[in-house]
Amino acid sequence: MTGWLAVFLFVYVVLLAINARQAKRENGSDAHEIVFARSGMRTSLLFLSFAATLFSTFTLMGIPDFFRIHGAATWLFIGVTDVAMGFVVLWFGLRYRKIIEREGVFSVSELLNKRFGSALPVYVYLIGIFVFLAPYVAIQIQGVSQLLTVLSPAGVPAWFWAICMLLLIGVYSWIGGLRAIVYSDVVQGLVLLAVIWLVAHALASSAGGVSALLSQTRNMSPALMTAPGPAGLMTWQFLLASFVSILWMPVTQPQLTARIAATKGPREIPIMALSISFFALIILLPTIVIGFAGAVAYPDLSSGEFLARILVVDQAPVLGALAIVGLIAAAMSTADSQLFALSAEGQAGLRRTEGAISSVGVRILVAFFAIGCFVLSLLTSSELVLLARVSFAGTAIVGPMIVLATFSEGRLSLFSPCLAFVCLLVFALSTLGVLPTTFSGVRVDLALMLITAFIGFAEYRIHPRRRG
Amino acid sequence: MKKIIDIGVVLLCGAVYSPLIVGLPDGELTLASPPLLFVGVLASLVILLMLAARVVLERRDQ
Repeated sequence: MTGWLAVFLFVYVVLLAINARQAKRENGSDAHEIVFARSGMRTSLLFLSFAATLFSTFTLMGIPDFFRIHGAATWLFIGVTDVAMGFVVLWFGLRYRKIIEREGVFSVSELLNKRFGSALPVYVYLIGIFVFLAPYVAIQIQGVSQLLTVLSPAGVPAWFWAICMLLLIGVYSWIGGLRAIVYSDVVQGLVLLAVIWLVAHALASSAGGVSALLSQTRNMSPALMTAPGPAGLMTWQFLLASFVSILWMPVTQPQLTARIAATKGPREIPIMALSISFFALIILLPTIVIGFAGAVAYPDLSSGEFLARILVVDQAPVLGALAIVGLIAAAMSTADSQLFALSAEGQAGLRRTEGAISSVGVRILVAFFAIGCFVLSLLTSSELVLLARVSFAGTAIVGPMIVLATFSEGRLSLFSPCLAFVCLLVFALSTLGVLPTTFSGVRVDLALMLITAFIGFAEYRIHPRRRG
Repeated sequence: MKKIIDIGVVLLCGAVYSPLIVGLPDGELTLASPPLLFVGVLASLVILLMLAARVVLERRDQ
């Protein structure tokens, strides 16, 4: 397998280098091109980039493990949600892209500043994304690093792999900016799709087909085929709260809004939305097979051991090597986009002069965040999917404020940003265990999302110039 | 028509995440007792088709 791995890694790194060089040529020296790809990119590239950013190690590692442990209800947790997300991309994307075209803003921070006439909503937004996305980036890197440590010869620590990935991300982001990241996402997304289908096909074949695998799973543990699953996690409240928080992602997560903003115009949004939903369906279906194959073969292994066996050790050498490259690609495609988007939003939100963007400043921020995420990756030990879900729920709380700014005209009051800040604080304290996680039988995250959404909608309805 | 699709998808998602569907028992694949996974995948396909119809209408209006 080592020979195949060397070949695939070489090809992968060469493709990244070609992409970075091509992006650098297209960007020129315009800072807005480097940071926001202002002149627009092709929809086919952007939807694949959007999908690669969205479907990270969370998909290839976390979701199969969730199917293995929590069973069929995982499809409601992620499958229905990610397909439905296409509607959010359509509704929000059309309006957001029109505003970009009409008002010349390039980031959510700029939009918030313009609509609320204050830096406060920008700070609330930046706090929300920094606090809840940085651990998510860290755990992407950590998840793959630990898996590589399990698979590599003894003595190669996880931090070494984490540094290698972050350095590679830093180099091509530095050279080619957002365009290089989008091009590399396309490669990474296609590798991820190929790996996930090939692994699932091999597992289904060895189990005697998908129907046979489902029967074996049912016989092994009937609780896996129903909600709330063997561990009792998949209650309707957990699923509904997860649904709502994941649906907010195209609005609240800067790496996704950046891709909507980089389209050539509002006309491109519908096709992009449909493509994302379709990609979600085809990339998530095989995770059912991988997860249930794990439930049958390795019900008692730890997550890391299960993934190492089912994705790599049990596969033919060529497929195992491709799976390792797929895992690296999955982690990098999300981490690079998030690091760059956090930096771009950070600079757009904190600068004092309107219109002034420094590509060097963004690059330095990327390096700064990469170091921060590396340190976090050494400290984090939580389960991949559950930490990701906390990240989605945390950022979802600022969603109504962004939607209000997007769909309203004229100056807005600071009530929604203040409410979002209080809700973020309550959610963070609840996550840390300082406050309870349920209130009168209702999950705190679900209640906070409903409160902010209701208040945001009410303000939109009573706002005198709500029609855009 | 676009509004009907929008309202339809909200109602469909509301139904999927209600205790009614989430509480579906495991069972053989019959119309009377469809298993949870089957209902979930079917709901995803229906949502995708609704989105495709919505996109066609949106493109026509553009």
